[in-house]
Amino acid sequence: MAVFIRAFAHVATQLRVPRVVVTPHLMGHTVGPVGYRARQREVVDAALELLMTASEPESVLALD
Amino acid sequence: MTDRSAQPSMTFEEFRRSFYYGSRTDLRFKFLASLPDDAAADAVARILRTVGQACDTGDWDAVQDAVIAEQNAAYGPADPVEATVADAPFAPVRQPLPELPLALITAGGVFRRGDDPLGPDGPSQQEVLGREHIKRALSSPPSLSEISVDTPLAELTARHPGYDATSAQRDPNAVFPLDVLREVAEAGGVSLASTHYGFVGATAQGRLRDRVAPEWAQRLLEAKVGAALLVAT
Repeated sequence: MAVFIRAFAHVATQLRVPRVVVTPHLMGHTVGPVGYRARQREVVDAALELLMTASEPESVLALD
Repeated sequence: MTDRSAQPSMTFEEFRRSFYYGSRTDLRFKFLASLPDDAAADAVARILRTVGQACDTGDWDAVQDAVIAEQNAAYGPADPVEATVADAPFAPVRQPLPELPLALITAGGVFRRGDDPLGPDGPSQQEVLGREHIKRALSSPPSLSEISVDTPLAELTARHPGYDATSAQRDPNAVFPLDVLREVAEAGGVSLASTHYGFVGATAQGRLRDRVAPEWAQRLLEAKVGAALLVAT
């Protein structure tokens, strides 16, 4: 299970990562902005959900 | 007041390259170095436009959104990419998540204070922002920092020559959400491994891929880790 920012989501595609959550954040803020706990929790929850629900390789979940 | 007439003039190309391990190094904007002059100028103009608008509207989120949009445009490929590996490994999860010890691994250079992978006199984030340092990092073997599951947030720090790790220093959860995962674990949503990991993704990539990462994976298996959350920067 991996989390990538949108700017580098193509790297996850190239590497055929099994499960990827793509976030629309700045470089260095993959899980969320500094101090924005609610957003960080959303990203972590989405990653854990994808971990459990993905049923095929290269599953990607792009967050808004 | 600074006598600007005494300063050497700088071309726009020199200006935009200066953010990338140059005189104005700011890795949040290093993407400007990779753009042609016109594209970089347009990117700067768009960002400044949102800054001006935010001064009136107070909508500073729009400024962040503008920077993110320019970052995505600069780093994203113009055409669809092709896989560089043959395999697409996948193992479905068949146990409930609370029964699978989960390890967090970040490439964001997070480590515990007092356990600096570069030694007790390790450089600061500012000190690693130089061309020589990034070159050295990219040819050096990766090292994995271990972070115990109960490490307080205040005992974590970060250093990385490839992105502005001051944000991770302010809030490690931005790239190493251990504190967030602890919250999930407290609510019974996940079971956490006793040890979690950080490394600097700007490292010798071939060595990482071919030798070191398989060794790390074996370590996790021997520690009975059932799942891993990897955070790229």
